[in-house]
Amino acid sequence: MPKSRHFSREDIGGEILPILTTGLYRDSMDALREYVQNGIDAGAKHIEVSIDPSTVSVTDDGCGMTRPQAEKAIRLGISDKNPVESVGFRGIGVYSAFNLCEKLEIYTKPAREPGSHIIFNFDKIRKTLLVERERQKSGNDPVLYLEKLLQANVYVKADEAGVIARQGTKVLMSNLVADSYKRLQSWDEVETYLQDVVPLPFSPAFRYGQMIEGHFARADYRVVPLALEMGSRRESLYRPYSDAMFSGDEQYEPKFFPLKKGMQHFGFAWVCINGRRVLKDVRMRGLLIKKFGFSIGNRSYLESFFKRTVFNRRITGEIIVQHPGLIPDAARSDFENNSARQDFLGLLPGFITDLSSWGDQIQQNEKARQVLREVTNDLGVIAEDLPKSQRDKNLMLKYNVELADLEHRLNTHKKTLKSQEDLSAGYDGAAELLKHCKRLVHDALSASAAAQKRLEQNVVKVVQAETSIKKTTPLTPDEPPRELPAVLDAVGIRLSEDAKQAIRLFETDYLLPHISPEAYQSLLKQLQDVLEEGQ
Amino acid sequence: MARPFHDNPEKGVVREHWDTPLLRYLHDRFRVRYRYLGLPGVDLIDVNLWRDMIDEVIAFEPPGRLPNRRAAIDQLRLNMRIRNIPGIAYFGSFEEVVMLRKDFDGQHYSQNKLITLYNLDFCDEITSKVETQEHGKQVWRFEAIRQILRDQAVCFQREGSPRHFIMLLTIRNQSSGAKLHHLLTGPALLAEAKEHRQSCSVSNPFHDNSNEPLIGTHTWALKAVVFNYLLSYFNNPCLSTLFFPGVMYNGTPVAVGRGRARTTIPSPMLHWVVLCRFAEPEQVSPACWPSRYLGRSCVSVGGDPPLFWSPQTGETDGSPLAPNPVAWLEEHGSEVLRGLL
Repeated sequence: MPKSRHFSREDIGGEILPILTTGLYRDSMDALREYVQNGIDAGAKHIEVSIDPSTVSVTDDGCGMTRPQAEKAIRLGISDKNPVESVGFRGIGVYSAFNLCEKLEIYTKPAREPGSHIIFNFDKIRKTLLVERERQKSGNDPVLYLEKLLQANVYVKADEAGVIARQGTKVLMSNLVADSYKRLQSWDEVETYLQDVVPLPFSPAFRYGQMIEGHFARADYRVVPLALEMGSRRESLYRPYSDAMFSGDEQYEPKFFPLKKGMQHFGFAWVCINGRRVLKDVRMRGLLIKKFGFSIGNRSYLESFFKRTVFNRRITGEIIVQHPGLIPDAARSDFENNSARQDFLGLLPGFITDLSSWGDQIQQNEKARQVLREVTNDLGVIAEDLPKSQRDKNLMLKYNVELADLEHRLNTHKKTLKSQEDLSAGYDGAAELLKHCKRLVHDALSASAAAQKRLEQNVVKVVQAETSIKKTTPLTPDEPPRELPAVLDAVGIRLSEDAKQAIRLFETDYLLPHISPEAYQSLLKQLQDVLEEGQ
Repeated sequence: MARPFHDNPEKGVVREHWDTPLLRYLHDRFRVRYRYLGLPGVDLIDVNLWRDMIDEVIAFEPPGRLPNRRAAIDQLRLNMRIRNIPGIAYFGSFEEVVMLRKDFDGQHYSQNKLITLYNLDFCDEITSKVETQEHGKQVWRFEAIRQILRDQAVCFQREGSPRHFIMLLTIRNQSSGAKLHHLLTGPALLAEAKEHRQSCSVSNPFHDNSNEPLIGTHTWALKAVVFNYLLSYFNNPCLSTLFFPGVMYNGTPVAVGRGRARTTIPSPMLHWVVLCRFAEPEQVSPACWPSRYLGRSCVSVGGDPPLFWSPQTGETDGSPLAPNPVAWLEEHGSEVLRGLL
């Protein structure tokens, strides 16, 4: 008997294959991800995914594999790919369809070289494993080793049919396992999944898409067009951003943040903000970290870095990671724990601070814009009434107080309003009208003859100033909320239809008989402001 | 009854010398491109032959024999993917999917664009039945043609401008005397079909109450039945039609019966080409060309030449020239071709 026994190929049983593939690829769509990923790694400029009840295919126009590369592609757990340049480098992905289909075929061809045809007979592998299990149940020794199992059922030959005309790769998963196909039947689910794992271009329905893609190109970050075909439906897929995600006019140009620490370049972020409101679409709130287009974690990854978490709900965008040391973990929920990850995490608070300052500035601008709108509105009402009610002392006293309040509100935002090119003129107009109104009220309240003469002159000035402010300030007042469910909806608090009904019933039958609609609307507006500030 | 094979040699002759020249002529001369709906078979012979003219394929494949009823549809779908043929393959017979609006895989069937090329194979006798959406009510398989023409009409209304489409129709030249009698004596029989029956039944009669299959012996009767029903389906004020001569060929013989009674019978087939034109009613008086169609000679598949005129009962001799679908179109098709010229 030898002194020592070393591990041999016969120590790896066939069962390792289902253990590995089932463990790593629980979702049947993961196979799609793996083959799309291979296409991206091959430099594809276009990828096509077709799904029908029998077959799933992923076709790309990438560089294809030479015969020696095709022969290496069937290896398990060995990959020639460089983790710095490619997403997939563990050498397992090619087996990801093991639980999805009975047969996997890969046709691949580089330009000006013959094509290869790789065949994986998964059905036969599964049946062989089943027979082996039955054998062992009867007390027989195991004889099915991984090497033997794969040798019999995985092979490469020349593509005699010439399936790939020029260059590229076509992955065909045929005779789908019924349970797996169920998950692939829903267009929406497949689309959402692919949006999450492919560096897709932006939709034409997103006005800043081209601008961001321009930045991508300058930063050497590639987008890959992908078309999905399912049944009779065939469409190009895009990143899930659209103008409809933002409320009204509250859409700002995206801002780009470089992510650097010393000499280390981690990538960049692009961020869009929805003014002072949370984004309508809950799924799009927050930033998504992407490496090679593949999402790492989800959009709540950065939420804990914000002092006010509501901020994360007002923004959307992506952090494009380009640092070679940041390597996605197998589950793609985070990066592998290494020094690059530590440095990246260390960089995030600074980035969040810059992002928050930008957001705060926008929030201040929005608030100032709203105050100017409201003050201008109220001043307009007072100015219109003043000439005819100047002899009503009580009303003049009331206006005196109101004008002081309006002046205070306007002055609070003076700096912001004056700094904004589009608001500065509006501020000046409002300040001028306020001045004239104040003087008119003051004169109306004093009894002297001189004051009486000035009063007449001021009436004229007020009318002129009011006319001018109407010209200079675009009055686009917010529609005031009329019911509580609308307020809650606007700040992103979702209620069931039953709850909304109950609240509406309470409002109409119990609350509104005791309070004027205007006063209730004002209360709702205040509540909305508080909720938006405090979220 | 087994389906005739798509790669039957005589079928190949029809495909090569009758259908292809016509499709190629319309494609080359008028830049017509095809949206194909039909039964291309697993090997996609038709589609491969016409691939450069076809933009999209809507295919149907009925379940095969046990134990693997899915084998053919799975292979068809795989072949479509391997050959980069855009389109969809439905699992089920064309008639059932069209009538039930879904296939056995649960894929919804709907038509949202005009089909420009139908290739339909009614391999069973045309009088066999199929379920419909209406609580399983059964109708003739042939009624599926009425349904696809309804779908076409809806698409035409949406798309508007004059549109053309071709229907390639293959039926088994077999029926019983009782069935033919029933079909040719109904109240809906058109004058031309009635007249044709009266003149033909004298020289080539069948027994009105016989259930024995008449295999390829009464082409005149089957032709009259099909022509009569197609015309009733084409009855649309926006539609005009050109019927090409019927082409007869021998499909792959099929086995019938069980055990010791099992035998093979020949499969005479009758192949039709109809060119249709949709246009606004004011632009066309609905019509069918050529007139007195039933009296025109059929074409048969031979050796050399591959096609020859083969007048059946009640038909006059064909042209002295060899049968040629393009020549036939140029001679009779000026009205139907309007809008393409």
